[in-house]
Amino acid sequence: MNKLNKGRIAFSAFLLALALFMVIVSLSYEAKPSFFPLIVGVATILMTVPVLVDDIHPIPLLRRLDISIMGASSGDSLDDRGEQIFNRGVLLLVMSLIGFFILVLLAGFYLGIAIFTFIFLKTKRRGGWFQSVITAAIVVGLVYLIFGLGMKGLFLFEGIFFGEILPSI
Amino acid sequence: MLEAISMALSAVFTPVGVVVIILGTIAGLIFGVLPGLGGIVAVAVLMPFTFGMEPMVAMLFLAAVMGAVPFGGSIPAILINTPGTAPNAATCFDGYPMARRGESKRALGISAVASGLGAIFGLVILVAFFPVVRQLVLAFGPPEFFMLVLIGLATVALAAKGNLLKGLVAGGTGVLLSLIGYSSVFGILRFTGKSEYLWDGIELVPFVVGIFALSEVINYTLRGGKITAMATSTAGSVWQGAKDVFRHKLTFLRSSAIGTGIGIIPGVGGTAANFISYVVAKTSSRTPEIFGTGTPEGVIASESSNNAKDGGALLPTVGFGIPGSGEMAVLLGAFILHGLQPGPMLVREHPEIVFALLLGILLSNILASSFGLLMANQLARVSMLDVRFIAPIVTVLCFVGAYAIRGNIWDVLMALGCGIFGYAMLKSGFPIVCLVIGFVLGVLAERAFHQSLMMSYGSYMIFFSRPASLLLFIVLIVVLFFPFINMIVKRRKSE
Repeated sequence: MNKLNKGRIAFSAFLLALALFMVIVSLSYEAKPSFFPLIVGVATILMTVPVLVDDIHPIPLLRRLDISIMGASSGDSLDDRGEQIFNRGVLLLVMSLIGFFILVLLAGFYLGIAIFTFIFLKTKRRGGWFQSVITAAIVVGLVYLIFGLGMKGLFLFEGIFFGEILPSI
Repeated sequence: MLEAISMALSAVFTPVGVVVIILGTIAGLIFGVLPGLGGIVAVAVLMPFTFGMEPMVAMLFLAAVMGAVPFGGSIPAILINTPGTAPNAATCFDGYPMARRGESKRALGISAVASGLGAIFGLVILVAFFPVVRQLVLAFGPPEFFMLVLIGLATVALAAKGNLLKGLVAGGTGVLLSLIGYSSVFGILRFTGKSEYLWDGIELVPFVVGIFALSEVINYTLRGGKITAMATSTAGSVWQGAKDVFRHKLTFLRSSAIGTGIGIIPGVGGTAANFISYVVAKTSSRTPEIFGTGTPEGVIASESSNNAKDGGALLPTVGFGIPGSGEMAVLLGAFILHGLQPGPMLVREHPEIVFALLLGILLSNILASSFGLLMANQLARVSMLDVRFIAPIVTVLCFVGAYAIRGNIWDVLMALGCGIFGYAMLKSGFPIVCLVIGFVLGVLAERAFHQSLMMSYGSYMIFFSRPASLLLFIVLIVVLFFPFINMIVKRRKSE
């Protein structure tokens, strides 16, 4: 089993677990509020199981249910099974996005945007210092123009370091 | 109706109205020119920026964005063989060969005129059927609405590129996610656990921003390089292209009609309209062998249909609250954001908003076509930008957009989570459009379902005893079994 299949299987299993979780939780509600999630949840589980099985071991019949843009059954798989879902590059990028969120949380939007844009351009694009600094400044300036001046009454999150209080989660 | 039209006109022809239409058109063109972004991402990313605007102004802005995207998408399709949006894909078949033999301006002229006139065709049909739609929506009760929602989900799964079963799984997951939070039908909290944040459910804007835009940012950045690697110059005559559309008026009318018709079917969208129109134009042409080598007819078929579909797609969106396409699903979110309830109530109580949308789309199409013709070369250069230059800017827009809607920082985290989820879905072959349409329709479907049962004192026969509901149920069965029917027909043909 290669990396790709593991990623696809893990994601299909995640969707199955999500539907299963919602079905189990909905059993704890009264009949009426639980009815709709139960029906949709069970139907989703029933459809996810063959998808998961197909990810582990391709089912020819399911391949025939592949739909082309024309709305017709093509008979050939349109899924690109040769593509990996999560690899080092994806994980690094996701980590940098999470890093951006943490920056915003701690230092606020304006500082977070400036630092993230600069670091992203400097590392991912390998841009020059001057160009990266100028681009980051322009992006911050545009956000300030639109939100700070354009949409009066809306204050962007200023960060925990600057006294902002987190809303309850 | 006349009063509503005059109200919409007076909103459009004010300084603010004109400015938002121009801004929306420019934004739509840019999103259209950038391959992969397209109309859904454009509306999803720009929707939060309408927060604080008057509903009418916001709708004008979003309509202008939606109206300009298809023409924007045709520019890189013609000049660099890269469709700006999926519904421009068939434009590459003949547009790019035309550009390669030095007729890029002619191809852009065809695209501009066919796009503008195609949009007008779709909107005229919508206006013509508007009184009928009003009557029709009044005859629709909760059982019919529930069946229509199911048909919408099924057709989306069928029309989305990929596996039917995966489309249905994505739709089901979207419905389940929409049920999180406080249920106004039963007055209880569901699936919230101990989270206070989830009391209001998953907010639509962070959800769509993450699912469509952030997932695309991840996709883009990993691929790296420039959006496209090559460019061609624009040569030839724009006016010759404009005349081509009138020379092939039958192709134009047929393709526009196909685009409008397909647009009406919930969830099918412009991509199917684009390809079907192209295939029909080719098969009905006296010279089908020249299709794909750079014939004006191919560009006319593709571009008139993908612009005409907007008028068609607006019919189920404003009339029934059922999105006619992916963009319309996000637009439904914008309606709700501005306190407007799409569906019969909107048609009855705010027809001026509907006409403002129509005018916005109409004017932005005219503006986009004129602006695009003048600026085609400059716009195409946007596609030559390094994706790693665009990625941080789009990410910033997504983060700020997700936050702006209600000033809750956890909405940004939600958008980020949805982005990663959307990327995994994309790479696993699940159509994300189905997820979003399921998410938008989920709560509406549950409400309609329980209202129907209340009407019938708990009897499920209400879904089958009313003629319209029964008819819609039969349509649903046909839609669901379409791949099997198609498989059998193909097998018989091959035997």
